[in-house]
Amino acid sequence: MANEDTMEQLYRDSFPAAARLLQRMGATLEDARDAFHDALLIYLEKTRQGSVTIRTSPKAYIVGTARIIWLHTRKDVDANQDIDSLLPQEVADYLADEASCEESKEKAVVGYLRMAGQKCMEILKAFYYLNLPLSQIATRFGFNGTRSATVQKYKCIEKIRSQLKTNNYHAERVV
Amino acid sequence: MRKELFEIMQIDHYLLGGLSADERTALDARRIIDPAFSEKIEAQQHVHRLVRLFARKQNKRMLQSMYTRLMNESSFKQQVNNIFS
Repeated sequence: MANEDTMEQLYRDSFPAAARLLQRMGATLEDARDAFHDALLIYLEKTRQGSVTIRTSPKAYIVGTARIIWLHTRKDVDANQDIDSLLPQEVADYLADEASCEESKEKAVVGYLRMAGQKCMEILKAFYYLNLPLSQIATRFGFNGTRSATVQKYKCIEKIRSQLKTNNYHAERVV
Repeated sequence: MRKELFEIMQIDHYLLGGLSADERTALDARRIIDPAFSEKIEAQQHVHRLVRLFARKQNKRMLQSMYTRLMNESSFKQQVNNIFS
């Protein structure tokens, strides 16, 4: 994650503007906070990937994204049913993950995996979520070199895939 | 690297866009004719999604702590409360 001081400054600068906008759209403080946190995470993921350029200021992007997320959240009580077809790709992907998390047992599985293989999950997070360079991952987790780190990554995937299979979780999901 | 790990590496490249067009076509074909292989691909996508959920859960906890800390500052708290009063 970005430097925590930078994050806090971004939070301090952006949250009141997002809260003001969402309050006018019927959100409570808790609603506004939740939508804002989701927007902030999407912003962080997007900037970390470095694959997409944000054309506005970080604050404008985060406030705008929080608005879209709030519109999506309250669509059942609003006439604006078309919002889902207008979602930016990164927001749609994020919300799809969140929905799978709520609608299935993913939350419980994440908890289980953390207990069963905390180190593996941290290694995979460093690779796939933080996109850290191999050399940095090797140093951080005490591997002899980048090749050992890569092999361990695939062993971790194998281990988790096998745990999912043991729990018959995958089959249950895809049926 | 043993065979199983090599296959996991191949699937990772397949999912993350690291294959040549020919390699990709070969795996697309294998996916169609080999249900067990197709299931492995889906399981690996599932692992990727779990890693994202795991990381986000940690980050959300961090953001919640940040919110609590900021709301303990009287000026920030008043600014926010004024919006919802």
